[in-house]
Amino acid sequence: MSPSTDLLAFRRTLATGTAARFFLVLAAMAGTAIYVFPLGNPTLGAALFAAAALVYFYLSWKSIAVSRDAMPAHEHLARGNLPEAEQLLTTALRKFSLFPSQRAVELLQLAQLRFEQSRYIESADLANAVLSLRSPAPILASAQLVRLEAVTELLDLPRVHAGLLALAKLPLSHADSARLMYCRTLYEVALSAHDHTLYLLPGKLQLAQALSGPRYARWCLELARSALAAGRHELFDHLVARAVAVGDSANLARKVPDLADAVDKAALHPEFGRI
Amino acid sequence: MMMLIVVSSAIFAGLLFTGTEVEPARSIQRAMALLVPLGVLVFSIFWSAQQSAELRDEDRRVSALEDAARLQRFDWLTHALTDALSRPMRSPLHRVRALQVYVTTLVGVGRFDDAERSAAAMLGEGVPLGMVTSLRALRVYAMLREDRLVDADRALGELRRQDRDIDISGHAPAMVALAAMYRDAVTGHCDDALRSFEKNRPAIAKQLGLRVADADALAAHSALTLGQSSRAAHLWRRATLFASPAELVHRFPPLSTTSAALAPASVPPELATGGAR
Repeated sequence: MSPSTDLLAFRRTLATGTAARFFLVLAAMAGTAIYVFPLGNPTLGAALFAAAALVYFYLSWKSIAVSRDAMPAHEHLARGNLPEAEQLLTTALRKFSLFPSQRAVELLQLAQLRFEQSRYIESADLANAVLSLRSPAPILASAQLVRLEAVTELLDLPRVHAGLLALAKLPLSHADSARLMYCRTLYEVALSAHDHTLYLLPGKLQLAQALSGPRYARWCLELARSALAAGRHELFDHLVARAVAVGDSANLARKVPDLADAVDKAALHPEFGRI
Repeated sequence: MMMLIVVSSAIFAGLLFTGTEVEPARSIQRAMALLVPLGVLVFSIFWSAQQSAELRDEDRRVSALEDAARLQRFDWLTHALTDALSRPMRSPLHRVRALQVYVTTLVGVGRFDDAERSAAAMLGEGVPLGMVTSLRALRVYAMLREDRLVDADRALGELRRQDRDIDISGHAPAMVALAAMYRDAVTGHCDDALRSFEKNRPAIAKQLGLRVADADALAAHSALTLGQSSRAAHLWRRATLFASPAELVHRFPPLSTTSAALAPASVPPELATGGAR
């Protein structure tokens, strides 16, 4: 599969940034050498060093400005304004940066955005690109989580298994632990391990409070599927009611077609219509 | 640091070429010209690594505080925050995050006046854009709990203006909508509260997840006040799927009448214990 245009754009900025850094360091070293050692005119050496330093500071300032311009994307993503977030992030990714590897945050946000747009293959690819960069541990953990969520949606079970094992070793925040549990539930349901899914359910429900609305709704529906398989009908009805109360019922019915009838029944109130 | 290395190199290079003519002294100067910048470089690498490790530790400690706030472990937080905030922090952002947890904890333990003043002080000092909305919303909530309705109304207006200023289109943020609903429910503008609920419920569910129960509960209260008892019962049942009536009344005291009048959602026996809501 060919890489996405986002990924190609990022690779291009990564290459140009690396080349720019290499030539600037080379110029600074040459300037220092000419100045320190008797290789020529010390004034020329100092001028070369100063020019390299000036260009370096200018390009650093421009690179920081690119990241600063993309900062509202986080707020847009949190509010579900996906087109605005996409415009900011894709624009940032196509601009020159002296430190593209430090723009892992924007790349990660774009991976999250593609996930929200149900473009799971691209999301996994972008998360992989973040993992290939030298980034702080929390960003790498987030990237692993985004990749895990994407491959979970694709039901690529071997990669889900590997992702679950990798993330089990990392210290995660409460919200990230909830997302990990979400992936694990989908994995267990895909393997029909319904007893595992319903095990310690009260504790899982408490942890799931950190999930976003759409994820919580989908998670409840997967649990409901397990409850149905285990013949626990009261629990099934309760979980479907929870899912419908938090999520968009039309979207849920589309994502989980085998439970669409139950979702429609729970969402259709005799007096107030569709809720 | 890079500049320090370059400057020290230049100083010692200067010494090298302008110094003494005696051969042993020249050798020492030449060695120093190479060793001192190298020493500065090695020191800077170790120093940076140590600084990064300390920053990571601090980030972990602040994340633990934030997790505890999400889990509403306010008893633990009152001690942990005293410890965390009584020492200097390396990163100003970490301090601001810890202070935001402090404001949340003050709200959680019912010290609304302190919470409001702390939030106002933080906003006055300047906080990152991502925190402004939640801090302002917390401040509005604290004012409403203190019955400072005029101040709360003004603060809500500021919150809406700020939302326009940072050029975020689409829905008003869920927290703003929730705060406005609470204000309308408290002041008896139940029609407005229900209108706001109808308009913003999908956004609240999407952005705040299970806190949509708060919106459902406030809407149930408004519907009951307007005499729409069937609708109120339905909304209250939906709200109590996620939060117990006692918890909802603790968050919004005016809901005590609603809680007494309406039946909560039934909970399956396997979820009845352990506070699974």
